[in-house]
Amino acid sequence: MKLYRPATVLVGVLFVLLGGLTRLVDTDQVYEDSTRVTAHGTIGQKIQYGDSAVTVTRMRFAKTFLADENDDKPIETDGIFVAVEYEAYRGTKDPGSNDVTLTADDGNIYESVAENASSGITFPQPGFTESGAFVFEVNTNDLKGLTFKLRTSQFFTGVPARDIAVDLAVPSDEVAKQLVDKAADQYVMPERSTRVDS
Amino acid sequence: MKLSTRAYRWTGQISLLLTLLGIAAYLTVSNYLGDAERVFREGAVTEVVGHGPVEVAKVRWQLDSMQAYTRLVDEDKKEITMDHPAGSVIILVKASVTPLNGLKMNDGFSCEAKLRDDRGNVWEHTSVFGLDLPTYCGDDDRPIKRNQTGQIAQVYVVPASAVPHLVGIQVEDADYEVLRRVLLTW
Repeated sequence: MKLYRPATVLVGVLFVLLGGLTRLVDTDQVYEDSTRVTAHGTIGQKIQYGDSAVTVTRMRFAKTFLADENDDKPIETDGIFVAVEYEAYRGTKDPGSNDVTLTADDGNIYESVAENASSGITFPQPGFTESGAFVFEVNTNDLKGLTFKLRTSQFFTGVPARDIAVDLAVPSDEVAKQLVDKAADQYVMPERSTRVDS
Repeated sequence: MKLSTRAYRWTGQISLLLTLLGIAAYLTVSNYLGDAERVFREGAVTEVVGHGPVEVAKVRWQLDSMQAYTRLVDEDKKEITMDHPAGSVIILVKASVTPLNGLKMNDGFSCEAKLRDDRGNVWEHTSVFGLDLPTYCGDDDRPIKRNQTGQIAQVYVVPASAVPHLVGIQVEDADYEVLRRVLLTW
Protein backbone atom coordinates (compact mmCIF):
# COMPACT_ATOMS: atom_id res chain seq x y z
CA MET A 1 0.00 0.00 0.00
CA LYS A 2 1.21 3.41 -0.85
CA LEU A 3 1.33 5.58 2.23
CA TYR A 4 1.92 9.05 0.71
CA ARG A 5 1.45 10.45 -2.71
CA PRO A 6 4.60 11.90 -4.30
CA ALA A 7 3.03 15.36 -4.20
CA THR A 8 2.59 15.12 -0.42
CA VAL A 9 6.21 14.09 0.06
CA LEU A 10 7.28 16.96 -2.18
CA VAL A 11 5.36 19.49 -0.09
CA GLY A 12 6.97 18.09 3.05
CA VAL A 13 10.47 18.41 1.61
CA LEU A 14 9.63 21.93 0.46
CA PHE A 15 8.68 22.96 4.00
CA VAL A 16 11.91 21.55 5.43
CA LEU A 17 13.88 23.47 2.81
CA LEU A 18 11.94 26.66 3.54
CA GLY A 19 12.68 26.34 7.24
CA GLY A 20 16.39 25.93 6.56
CA LEU A 21 16.45 28.82 4.12
CA THR A 22 14.79 31.26 6.52
CA ARG A 23 17.41 30.36 9.10
CA LEU A 24 20.14 31.06 6.59
CA VAL A 25 18.68 34.42 5.57
CA ASP A 26 18.86 36.04 9.02
CA THR A 27 21.95 34.45 10.51
CA ASP A 28 22.13 37.08 13.24
CA GLN A 29 18.73 36.16 14.53
CA VAL A 30 19.87 32.65 15.28
CA TYR A 31 22.57 33.80 17.66
CA GLU A 32 21.11 37.09 18.84
CA ASP A 33 18.27 37.03 21.27
CA SER A 34 15.37 38.56 19.39
CA THR A 35 13.59 39.43 22.63
CA ARG A 36 16.19 42.12 23.43
CA VAL A 37 16.45 45.53 21.81
CA THR A 38 19.58 47.62 22.17
CA ALA A 39 19.50 51.41 21.82
CA HIS A 40 22.86 52.87 20.75
CA GLY A 41 24.04 56.36 21.60
CA THR A 42 26.95 58.62 22.40
CA ILE A 43 28.06 60.75 25.35
CA GLY A 44 25.61 63.58 26.03
CA GLN A 45 22.80 61.98 24.11
CA LYS A 46 19.52 61.31 25.90
CA ILE A 47 18.75 57.68 25.18
CA GLN A 48 15.19 56.53 25.57
CA TYR A 49 14.71 53.56 27.85
CA GLY A 50 11.02 52.78 27.65
CA ASP A 51 9.43 55.99 28.87
CA SER A 52 12.45 56.63 31.04
CA ALA A 53 15.75 57.90 29.65
CA VAL A 54 19.47 57.67 30.37
CA THR A 55 22.19 60.17 29.47
CA VAL A 56 25.90 59.55 29.90
CA THR A 57 27.04 63.07 30.74
CA ARG A 58 30.78 62.65 31.14
CA MET A 59 33.60 60.15 30.93
CA ARG A 60 36.86 60.61 32.84
CA PHE A 61 40.12 58.70 33.05
CA ALA A 62 41.85 58.73 36.42
CA LYS A 63 44.84 57.04 38.06
CA THR A 64 43.21 56.87 41.49
CA PHE A 65 39.78 57.49 42.87
CA LEU A 66 38.01 58.31 46.09
CA ALA A 67 34.68 56.59 46.64
CA ASP A 68 33.66 59.43 48.90
CA GLU A 69 35.07 62.92 49.29
CA ASN A 70 35.63 62.25 52.99
CA ASP A 71 37.81 59.22 52.29
CA ASP A 72 41.46 59.89 53.02
CA LYS A 73 43.02 57.01 51.11
CA PRO A 74 42.61 56.93 47.35
CA ILE A 75 42.17 53.58 45.62
CA GLU A 76 45.00 52.79 43.21
CA THR A 77 45.41 50.55 40.22
CA ASP A 78 48.02 49.27 37.77
CA GLY A 79 45.49 49.83 35.00
CA ILE A 80 43.34 52.87 34.71
CA PHE A 81 40.06 53.92 36.24
CA VAL A 82 37.31 54.98 33.88
CA ALA A 83 34.57 57.04 35.51
CA VAL A 84 31.23 57.27 33.74
CA GLU A 85 28.78 59.89 34.98
CA TYR A 86 25.13 59.53 34.11
CA GLU A 87 21.72 61.04 34.54
CA ALA A 88 18.68 58.80 34.75
CA TYR A 89 15.23 60.23 34.12
CA ARG A 90 12.32 58.18 35.35
CA GLY A 91 9.07 58.07 33.38
CA THR A 92 5.77 56.52 34.37
CA LYS A 93 6.50 52.84 33.93
CA ASP A 94 8.69 50.93 36.34
CA PRO A 95 11.99 50.42 34.50
CA GLY A 96 12.84 47.32 36.53
CA SER A 97 16.45 46.68 37.45
CA ASN A 98 19.59 46.57 35.38
CA ASP A 99 23.31 45.91 35.39
CA VAL A 100 25.97 48.09 33.83
CA THR A 101 29.30 47.05 32.37
CA LEU A 102 32.07 48.44 30.21
CA THR A 103 33.14 46.44 27.21
CA ALA A 104 36.07 46.90 24.86
CA ASP A 105 36.67 45.65 21.35
CA ASP A 106 38.90 42.86 22.61
CA GLY A 107 35.90 41.43 24.35
CA ASN A 108 36.74 42.11 27.98
CA ILE A 109 33.82 42.97 30.20
CA TYR A 110 34.44 45.20 33.22
CA GLU A 111 32.11 45.63 36.15
CA SER A 112 31.80 48.66 38.36
CA VAL A 113 34.36 48.62 41.18
CA ALA A 114 33.26 51.23 43.70
CA GLU A 115 31.85 49.31 46.61
CA ASN A 116 29.24 51.84 47.61
CA ALA A 117 27.80 52.05 44.14
CA SER A 118 25.22 49.56 42.98
CA SER A 119 25.82 47.32 39.99
CA GLY A 120 23.22 49.13 37.94
CA ILE A 121 21.44 52.42 37.52
CA THR A 122 18.79 52.90 40.17
CA PHE A 123 16.00 54.96 38.73
CA PRO A 124 14.38 57.58 40.96
CA GLN A 125 10.65 58.00 41.49
CA PRO A 126 8.49 59.26 38.59
CA GLY A 127 9.22 62.81 37.47
CA PHE A 128 12.67 62.96 39.02
CA THR A 129 16.14 62.74 37.52
CA GLU A 130 19.01 61.14 39.34
CA SER A 131 22.67 61.69 38.65
CA GLY A 132 25.49 59.46 39.72
CA ALA A 133 28.67 57.79 38.55
CA PHE A 134 30.26 54.41 38.06
CA VAL A 135 33.96 53.68 38.23
CA PHE A 136 35.48 50.82 36.25
CA GLU A 137 39.00 49.46 36.52
CA VAL A 138 40.23 48.87 32.99
CA ASN A 139 43.30 47.35 31.35
CA THR A 140 45.25 50.14 29.59
CA ASN A 141 45.96 47.87 26.61
CA ASP A 142 42.31 47.22 26.04
CA LEU A 143 40.58 50.53 25.61
CA LYS A 144 39.73 50.63 21.93
CA GLY A 145 36.00 50.75 21.30
CA LEU A 146 35.14 51.25 24.95
CA THR A 147 31.38 51.00 25.35
CA PHE A 148 29.15 51.55 28.35
CA LYS A 149 26.42 48.94 28.39
CA LEU A 150 23.26 48.72 30.39
CA ARG A 151 21.52 45.37 30.45
CA THR A 152 18.01 45.06 31.82
CA SER A 153 18.01 42.20 34.29
CA GLN A 154 14.43 42.20 35.48
CA PHE A 155 11.54 43.08 33.26
CA PHE A 156 8.03 42.06 32.45
CA THR A 157 7.61 39.25 29.99
CA GLY A 158 5.87 39.95 26.72
CA VAL A 159 7.78 43.12 25.89
CA PRO A 160 11.31 43.00 24.50
CA ALA A 161 13.94 43.81 27.10
CA ARG A 162 15.62 47.12 26.37
CA ASP A 163 19.37 47.47 26.61
CA ILE A 164 21.56 50.51 26.13
CA ALA A 165 25.02 50.77 24.57
CA VAL A 166 26.86 54.09 24.75
CA ASP A 167 29.97 54.58 22.65
CA LEU A 168 32.55 56.28 24.86
CA ALA A 169 34.48 57.71 21.90
CA VAL A 170 37.72 55.74 22.03
CA PRO A 171 38.00 54.86 18.33
CA SER A 172 41.65 53.83 18.24
CA ASP A 173 44.65 52.84 20.35
CA GLU A 174 46.25 56.27 19.79
CA VAL A 175 43.26 58.06 21.28
CA ALA A 176 43.29 55.56 24.13
CA LYS A 177 46.97 56.26 24.78
CA GLN A 178 46.37 60.01 24.83
CA LEU A 179 43.50 59.60 27.26
CA VAL A 180 45.62 57.42 29.55
CA ASP A 181 48.53 59.91 29.42
CA LYS A 182 46.24 62.77 30.28
CA ALA A 183 44.38 60.86 32.98
CA ALA A 184 43.63 62.86 36.09
CA ASP A 185 45.55 62.02 39.26
CA GLN A 186 42.40 61.56 41.22
CA TYR A 187 38.69 61.21 40.67
CA VAL A 188 36.23 61.89 43.45
CA MET A 189 32.98 60.02 43.02
CA PRO A 190 30.09 62.44 43.12
CA GLU A 191 27.30 61.70 45.54
CA ARG A 192 24.13 60.42 43.98
CA SER A 193 21.64 63.24 43.85
CA THR A 194 18.07 63.59 42.77
CA ARG A 195 16.39 66.60 41.22
CA VAL A 196 13.05 67.38 39.74
CA ASP A 197 13.05 66.77 36.03
CA SER A 198 12.96 70.00 34.07
CA MET B 1 -19.35 9.08 -4.42
CA LYS B 2 -22.62 9.48 -2.61
CA LEU B 3 -23.86 12.89 -1.67
CA SER B 4 -24.08 11.95 2.02
CA THR B 5 -20.46 10.72 2.15
CA ARG B 6 -19.30 13.95 0.62
CA ALA B 7 -21.36 15.97 3.09
CA TYR B 8 -19.83 14.01 5.99
CA ARG B 9 -16.34 14.60 4.73
CA TRP B 10 -16.98 18.30 4.21
CA THR B 11 -18.38 18.72 7.69
CA GLY B 12 -15.36 16.94 9.13
CA GLN B 13 -12.87 19.01 7.18
CA ILE B 14 -14.55 22.34 7.88
CA SER B 15 -14.89 21.66 11.60
CA LEU B 16 -11.23 20.62 11.78
CA LEU B 17 -10.27 23.82 9.98
CA LEU B 18 -12.36 25.92 12.35
CA THR B 19 -10.87 24.20 15.40
CA LEU B 20 -7.31 24.78 14.19
CA LEU B 21 -8.04 28.42 13.33
CA GLY B 22 -9.62 28.91 16.73
CA ILE B 23 -6.62 27.43 18.55
CA ALA B 24 -4.22 29.53 16.47
CA ALA B 25 -6.14 32.72 17.16
CA TYR B 26 -6.37 31.94 20.87
CA LEU B 27 -2.65 31.16 21.19
CA THR B 28 -1.75 34.36 19.37
CA VAL B 29 -3.76 36.74 21.51
CA SER B 30 -3.92 34.91 24.84
CA ASN B 31 -0.72 36.66 25.93
CA TYR B 32 -2.37 40.01 25.57
CA LEU B 33 -5.89 39.37 26.74
CA GLY B 34 -7.25 38.58 30.13
CA ASP B 35 -4.02 37.57 31.80
CA ALA B 36 -4.86 38.92 35.23
CA GLU B 37 -1.35 38.60 36.55
CA ARG B 38 0.17 40.45 33.66
CA VAL B 39 -2.43 43.21 33.83
CA PHE B 40 -1.75 43.52 37.55
CA ARG B 41 2.01 43.57 37.18
CA GLU B 42 1.78 46.28 34.58
CA GLY B 43 0.23 48.46 37.24
CA ALA B 44 -3.46 48.45 36.38
CA VAL B 45 -5.92 49.55 39.04
CA THR B 46 -8.60 46.90 39.49
CA GLU B 47 -11.00 48.84 41.70
CA VAL B 48 -11.68 52.46 42.45
CA VAL B 49 -13.41 53.42 45.67
CA GLY B 50 -13.95 56.79 47.29
CA HIS B 51 -12.52 57.47 50.72
CA GLY B 52 -13.30 53.93 51.75
CA PRO B 53 -13.52 52.06 53.98
CA VAL B 54 -12.37 49.18 51.86
CA GLU B 55 -10.89 45.85 52.86
CA VAL B 56 -7.71 44.87 51.09
CA ALA B 57 -5.66 41.88 52.19
CA LYS B 58 -7.46 41.69 55.56
CA VAL B 59 -6.76 45.31 56.38
CA ARG B 60 -9.51 47.91 56.30
CA TRP B 61 -8.38 51.19 54.82
CA GLN B 62 -9.96 54.58 55.01
CA LEU B 63 -8.49 57.70 53.50
CA ASP B 64 -8.73 60.62 55.90
CA SER B 65 -6.84 63.48 54.35
CA MET B 66 -4.22 64.51 51.88
CA GLN B 67 -2.26 67.70 52.18
CA ALA B 68 0.68 69.22 50.34
CA TYR B 69 3.51 70.76 52.36
CA THR B 70 6.86 72.30 51.63
CA ARG B 71 8.26 71.33 55.03
CA LEU B 72 7.32 69.02 57.86
CA VAL B 73 7.86 69.57 61.57
CA ASP B 74 8.14 67.07 64.38
CA GLU B 75 6.39 67.10 67.76
CA ASP B 76 8.76 69.78 69.06
CA LYS B 77 8.02 72.02 66.05
CA LYS B 78 11.48 71.38 64.66
CA GLU B 79 11.83 70.89 60.96
CA ILE B 80 12.21 67.27 59.91
CA THR B 81 15.19 66.83 57.62
CA MET B 82 14.33 64.76 54.63
CA ASP B 83 15.51 64.44 51.11
CA HIS B 84 13.32 66.60 48.95
CA PRO B 85 14.93 68.32 45.98
CA ALA B 86 14.09 71.85 44.85
CA GLY B 87 10.83 71.91 42.93
CA SER B 88 9.36 69.01 44.82
CA VAL B 89 6.44 69.01 47.22
CA ILE B 90 5.82 66.84 50.26
CA ILE B 91 2.47 65.12 50.29
CA LEU B 92 1.21 63.95 53.66
CA VAL B 93 -1.58 61.40 53.53
CA LYS B 94 -3.45 60.37 56.64
CA ALA B 95 -5.27 57.08 56.57
CA SER B 96 -7.08 54.90 59.10
CA VAL B 97 -6.10 51.27 59.04
CA THR B 98 -7.77 48.38 60.85
CA PRO B 99 -6.08 44.98 60.89
CA LEU B 100 -8.84 42.39 60.70
CA ASN B 101 -9.20 38.77 61.77
CA GLY B 102 -7.02 36.43 59.78
CA LEU B 103 -4.21 38.88 59.19
CA LYS B 104 -0.75 37.65 60.11
CA MET B 105 0.54 39.99 62.76
CA ASN B 106 3.76 39.76 64.64
CA ASP B 107 5.19 43.05 65.83
CA GLY B 108 2.67 44.86 63.76
CA PHE B 109 1.93 44.24 60.13
CA SER B 110 2.89 45.72 56.83
CA CYS B 111 0.68 48.42 55.45
CA GLU B 112 1.89 50.21 52.42
CA ALA B 113 0.10 52.64 50.22
CA LYS B 114 1.45 54.24 47.09
CA LEU B 115 0.49 57.62 45.72
CA ARG B 116 -0.94 57.66 42.23
CA ASP B 117 -1.69 60.35 39.68
CA ASP B 118 -4.03 60.42 36.70
CA ARG B 119 -1.17 59.78 34.28
CA GLY B 120 -0.35 56.45 35.88
CA ASN B 121 2.69 57.63 37.83
CA VAL B 122 3.15 55.85 41.14
CA TRP B 123 5.25 57.14 44.03
CA GLU B 124 6.45 55.06 46.91
CA HIS B 125 6.36 56.52 50.36
CA THR B 126 9.43 58.09 51.93
CA SER B 127 10.42 57.14 55.44
CA VAL B 128 10.27 60.02 57.82
CA PHE B 129 11.12 60.09 61.52
CA GLY B 130 9.60 62.32 64.15
CA LEU B 131 6.07 62.85 62.89
CA ASP B 132 3.31 62.87 65.49
CA LEU B 133 1.66 59.94 63.71
CA PRO B 134 3.19 56.52 63.04
CA THR B 135 4.38 56.17 59.45
CA TYR B 136 4.28 52.39 59.41
CA CYS B 137 2.17 49.71 61.03
CA GLY B 138 4.95 48.05 63.03
CA ASP B 139 5.70 51.04 65.25
CA ASP B 140 6.35 49.66 68.74
CA ASP B 141 5.56 52.94 70.45
CA ARG B 142 2.21 53.29 68.77
CA PRO B 143 1.03 49.76 68.02
CA ILE B 144 -2.21 49.11 66.20
CA LYS B 145 -4.14 46.19 67.69
CA ARG B 146 -6.28 43.70 65.86
CA ASN B 147 -9.77 44.95 65.06
CA GLN B 148 -8.87 48.39 66.34
CA THR B 149 -8.48 51.35 64.09
CA GLY B 150 -5.29 53.35 64.11
CA GLN B 151 -4.27 56.35 62.09
CA ILE B 152 -1.06 56.37 60.10
CA ALA B 153 0.66 59.00 58.01
CA GLN B 154 2.37 58.28 54.73
CA VAL B 155 4.77 60.81 53.28
CA TYR B 156 5.53 61.15 49.58
CA VAL B 157 7.86 63.45 47.69
CA VAL B 158 6.55 64.39 44.26
CA PRO B 159 7.44 67.04 41.67
CA ALA B 160 5.33 70.16 42.11
CA SER B 161 4.03 69.78 38.56
CA ALA B 162 2.40 66.48 39.52
CA VAL B 163 0.30 67.88 42.37
CA PRO B 164 -2.78 68.83 40.28
CA HIS B 165 -2.73 65.34 38.80
CA LEU B 166 -2.74 63.38 42.06
CA VAL B 167 -5.80 61.20 42.39
CA GLY B 168 -5.32 59.06 45.46
CA ILE B 169 -3.48 56.23 47.12
CA GLN B 170 -3.39 52.67 45.94
CA VAL B 171 -3.31 49.62 48.14
CA GLU B 172 -2.44 46.21 46.78
CA ASP B 173 -3.18 42.61 47.49
CA ALA B 174 -0.55 40.83 45.44
CA ASP B 175 -1.71 37.35 46.45
CA TYR B 176 -1.57 35.27 43.31
CA GLU B 177 -5.22 34.29 43.53
CA VAL B 178 -6.48 37.77 44.37
CA LEU B 179 -4.39 40.35 42.53
CA ARG B 180 -6.30 43.44 43.58
CA ARG B 181 -5.10 47.00 43.33
CA VAL B 182 -7.53 49.38 44.95
CA LEU B 183 -7.41 53.12 44.39
CA LEU B 184 -8.77 55.30 47.18
CA THR B 185 -9.50 58.76 45.85
CA TRP B 186 -9.79 62.05 47.68
